[in-house]
Amino acid sequence: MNTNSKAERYMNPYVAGVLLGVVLFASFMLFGHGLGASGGIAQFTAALVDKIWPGHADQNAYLAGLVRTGAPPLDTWLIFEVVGIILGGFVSGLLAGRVKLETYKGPHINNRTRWAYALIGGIIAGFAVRISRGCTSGQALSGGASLSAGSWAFMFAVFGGAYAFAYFVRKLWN
Amino acid sequence: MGPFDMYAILGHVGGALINVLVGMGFGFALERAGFGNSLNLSAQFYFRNMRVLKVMFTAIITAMLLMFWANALGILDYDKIWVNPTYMWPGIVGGFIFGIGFVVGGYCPGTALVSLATLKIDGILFVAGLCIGMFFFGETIDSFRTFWEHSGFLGRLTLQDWLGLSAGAVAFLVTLMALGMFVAAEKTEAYFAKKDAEAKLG
Amino acid sequence: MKIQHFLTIIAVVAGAGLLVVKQPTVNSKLAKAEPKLEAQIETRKFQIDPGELFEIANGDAMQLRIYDVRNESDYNIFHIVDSERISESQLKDPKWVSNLPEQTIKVFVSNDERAATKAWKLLAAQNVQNIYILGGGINKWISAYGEPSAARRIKAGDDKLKYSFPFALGKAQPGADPDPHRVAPRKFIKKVKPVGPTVRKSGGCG
Repeated sequence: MNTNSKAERYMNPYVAGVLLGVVLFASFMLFGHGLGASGGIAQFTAALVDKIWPGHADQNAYLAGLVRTGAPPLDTWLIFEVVGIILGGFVSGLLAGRVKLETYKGPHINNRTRWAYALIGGIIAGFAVRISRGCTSGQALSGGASLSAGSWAFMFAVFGGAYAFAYFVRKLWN
Repeated sequence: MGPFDMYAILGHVGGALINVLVGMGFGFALERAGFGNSLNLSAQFYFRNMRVLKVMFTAIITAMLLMFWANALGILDYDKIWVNPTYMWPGIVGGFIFGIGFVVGGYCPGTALVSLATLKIDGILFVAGLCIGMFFFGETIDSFRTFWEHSGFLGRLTLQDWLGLSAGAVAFLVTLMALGMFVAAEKTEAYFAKKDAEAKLG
Repeated sequence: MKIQHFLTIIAVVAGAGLLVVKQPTVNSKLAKAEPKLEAQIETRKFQIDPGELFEIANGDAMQLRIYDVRNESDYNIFHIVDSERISESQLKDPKWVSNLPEQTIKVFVSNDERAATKAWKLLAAQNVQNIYILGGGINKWISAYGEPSAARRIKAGDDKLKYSFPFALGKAQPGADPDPHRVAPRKFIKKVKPVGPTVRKSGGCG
């Protein structure tokens, strides 16, 4: 895999940051709040659990609040935002020729190991993101820009956790 | 004067449409930045490629500067926008664990969605993991609900309230801090690039 | 010049500029909006008749909050049932203001109209929607619903209580909580509009 030629086609990070910042500001202007990603995934989870295990979502102390609000759990701004993220990511990937079924992994592990760790990492992050009430989008970016004290604490904690644990999983990436 | 509510102005369908467009801008920017690729994200934590920090803090200061200029000019009312309420300890504990999930799985929720959109299998599995993790959270939350709802709850607490400074001063300091971090990130990347090159030769 | 150097210059200039420009405060917002608000006040579209307040309070078509901006002693002597006494400092506190219920009619009450008008302007300057003033204030309310045997009319200056009561009974004072089946209906022009679109407070992805 030739990562170098691909990396060159990624946008200058500072320019990409400005673009992202303008989108974030537009969200505040048009809706009065920032961006979100994990909230939509939570809504989706609630709808999914409700579908495949009828009645159980009501027993789940967190998901219950998402399915019981009266409106269908998929009819919220969080879901629309997630749909947008996927569409926008797809368009950008298509334009850059990056839409391709493949796996990104470190050079010294096989696909199966990478898949297992991707799933485990997702489970850990999914659990944690509900404790912190928001992810890198909803807390770090949105709360960071609107100068929420708690969001800044969250952001430094994320970097702290990742740097502290990076050593133990270095074989996955290097 | 903003903030507006597109759902109230355009109705449910119109608002949802604008919402999808804003989401598309978000997803587009993330994919452009290279965040559909877990290698670009994880490299942050080994000092090889500090894209995560550069993009994130550039986005934060861009939006922040726009927001406070808009507030000063009377285009946007900062007092009316949603500022994430501060739940200090859940934020810190959740953030720390989230960081571990980030470096193990190689994504965060927004970037994983972009990775999924471009058909990366690791991204798809990370999203599946998120769903499982959130389900598991709901199953266990009752055992630590007091912690989750009350420890360090401070409501709408902004950095300027906390520091006792003006919003303008805080925005300026945050900008300077971010610029300082960018300089440090560039230096760190250069240092590790040189070290890696030497190791290859050696 | 590299693009990041260009962006750095913009960021430093924009950031330093924020040290100089003033972020609006409640007082500066009020000063800026004052002429427009004064013109709105003069149209008398926001001063509602006691009859309309009474009708909303006793109907279930709208949510209602009544905020009494008078001093504590006047409030203790007589106040409309379910009204809450608030101070000017609360009206200037962004935290308090942001916690006001949005889809609710909020009516401000003083003895006449002066203090209630000031409260109305303070909140209007802060973009709060669905706010009204009790036209004629408590004095007009008492003249409409009070019992002549309990209240004696006295001479008093502008925005002062023009009735004297033998006891400070607050909401138990006759006329503070009129019985909808017994009071005579009043004729009035309806001014309260159904609650309009407002910015939703919820957000983030938590």
